[in-house]
Amino acid sequence: MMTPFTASPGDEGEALPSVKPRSARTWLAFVRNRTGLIGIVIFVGFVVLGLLAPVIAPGNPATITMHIMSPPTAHYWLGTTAEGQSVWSQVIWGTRPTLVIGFIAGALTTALSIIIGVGGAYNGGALDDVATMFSNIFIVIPGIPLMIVLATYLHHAGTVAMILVISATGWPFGARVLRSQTLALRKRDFVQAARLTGESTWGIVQRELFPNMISLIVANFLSTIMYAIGAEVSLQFLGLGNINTVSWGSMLYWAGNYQALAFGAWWWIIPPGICIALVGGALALVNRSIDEIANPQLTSAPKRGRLHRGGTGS
Amino acid sequence: MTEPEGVPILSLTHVSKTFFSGRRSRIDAVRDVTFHLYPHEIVCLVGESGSGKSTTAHLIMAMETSTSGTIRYQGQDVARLRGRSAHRQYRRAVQMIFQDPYASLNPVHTAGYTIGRPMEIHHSIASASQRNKAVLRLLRQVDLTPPAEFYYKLPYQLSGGQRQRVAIARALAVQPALIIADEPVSMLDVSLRAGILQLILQARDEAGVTFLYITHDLASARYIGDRILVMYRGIICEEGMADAVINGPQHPYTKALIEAVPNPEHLEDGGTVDDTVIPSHPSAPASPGCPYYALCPVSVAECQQNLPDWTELSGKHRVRCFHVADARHGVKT
Repeated sequence: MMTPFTASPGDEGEALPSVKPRSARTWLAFVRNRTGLIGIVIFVGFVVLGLLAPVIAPGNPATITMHIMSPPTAHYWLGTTAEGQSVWSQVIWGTRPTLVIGFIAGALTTALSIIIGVGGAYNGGALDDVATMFSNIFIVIPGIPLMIVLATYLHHAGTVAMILVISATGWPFGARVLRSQTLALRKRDFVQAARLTGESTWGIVQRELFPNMISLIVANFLSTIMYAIGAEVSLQFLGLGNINTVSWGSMLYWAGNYQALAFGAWWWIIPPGICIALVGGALALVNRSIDEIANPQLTSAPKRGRLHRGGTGS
Repeated sequence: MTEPEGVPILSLTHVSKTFFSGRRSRIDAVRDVTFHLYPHEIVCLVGESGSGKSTTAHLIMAMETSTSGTIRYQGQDVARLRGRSAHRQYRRAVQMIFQDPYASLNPVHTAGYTIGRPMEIHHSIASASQRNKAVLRLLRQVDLTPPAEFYYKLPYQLSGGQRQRVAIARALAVQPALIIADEPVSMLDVSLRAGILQLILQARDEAGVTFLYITHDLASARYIGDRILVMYRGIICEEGMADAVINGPQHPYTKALIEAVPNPEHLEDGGTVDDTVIPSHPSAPASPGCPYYALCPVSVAECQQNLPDWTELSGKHRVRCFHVADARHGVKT
């Protein structure tokens, strides 16, 4: 019937079978999930494009030539700007600042959300009150106008200033979501159980709470990148960033400035627009697939005949 | 099991816990509770919901602090544990099994992690490979076989009974001296209960663990318990060896509780189920006296005024009731 509680010699030889580590299985799940795969391929494609810019479009993208407002030709694949710059070259090089600012601002914003949201909710009391008050204040301040004011104040914001402005206005939404999730988890029995086995506070946050929130945190991170890219493009389009750097936002700014649309120069406006939409769409797709993967109950509809194969009842 | 003897492992002396909500509302969850747990016994704390039995568990686990009274574990005051190592030692010595196995296991951790983690925290087993072996042995002991397969199971892949076995293995992982089991079978199918109770008995017999088994179910208390403590609205009204309490209840509440259990033998005799159910939330105002006085068929005026003291009966059987006390002293009521 049952194994006696005293150790029997046979147990000593028992060893664990090797199983693929959790992280490997997660990546495999991503590849299997078509939505996620498409998103990752598009996003990674843009990252590669940015990295390989010197190879794909050699030369300075800001170089001025005599061929102004040229429609797409064999030489200028995507035509030229009013200053005779190659749009192809600008789109490729413009990937770099856009993604870098999006990624760093997204990471910083998420970190702020975690510290303020999780920290406040887990500790409770006055700390939570203060954290909630700040989130509430920041959440009612309209983001874009505040960003415009801050960016104007910082006067043609450089990369660092741009990242700080986006992070300062972007954190409260994530903080509130993570706070409510922390509050819901904190009172659960398994958190109590971990405390009763002697787990430290940091151990509980790290080992019991975070794994349950990781999909939320990653989803939050990805949407923050989308938000950051959108915010960055808007600021540059409004001429509040550094208009002399080549990025998708500044391309749109100059296109607007030279009234590209009035001259019928669609090739100047549509490529950066499509790129922004593609990056945003790719992140949204990855986000959706994370939700599917992180909730194993939702996706693991077992294949026929494998239902509860290991279950023996008790 | 023989009668308890020796030095108690855990002692509660005049422990009370009062919760205040707002200015007026005051709930005496636990009132003047005194009992001792001796090594290697299984003591059942029986009571209906709201009787304060879970609060008692939380007080013992130092999740709450008592309003008055002392809780001593091997002579050491639990409320006065100072420093990290003292806390750790207590956490290692006293473990808890929760009622709901669907809530007490982290959905993202495998059974192996859940059971191995306490060993890791307390460094009870140094090397990772030794720890894995110990986890596999525990899985086998709680009858989750083949253990190597269950090691990697996530909670959602396990049934309620299997989950509770994982929770028991987690509690046993650091070889505690005392386990507080808070209604460990009440969320499980009736068909699975005997297996879990068997496991608890086995842990006591073979690993020498002392259990405080909290339940509202007299049948399982009788099955598993060496001694029974009956709790009603914050006080322990009767205690004694399990058979003595079940077969010869003295307190009017205990009597009503035992009569409320449907008895199939009576049905065969043509009788009906006794429906003199005890109202779960009698509207009796909080009084300094016996909490059962309003419902008690034999209550006297004194019952409302004062909390009766213990009346010792034969053996370890004792009751908190004026009626019983008077009867023993030959006074007619």
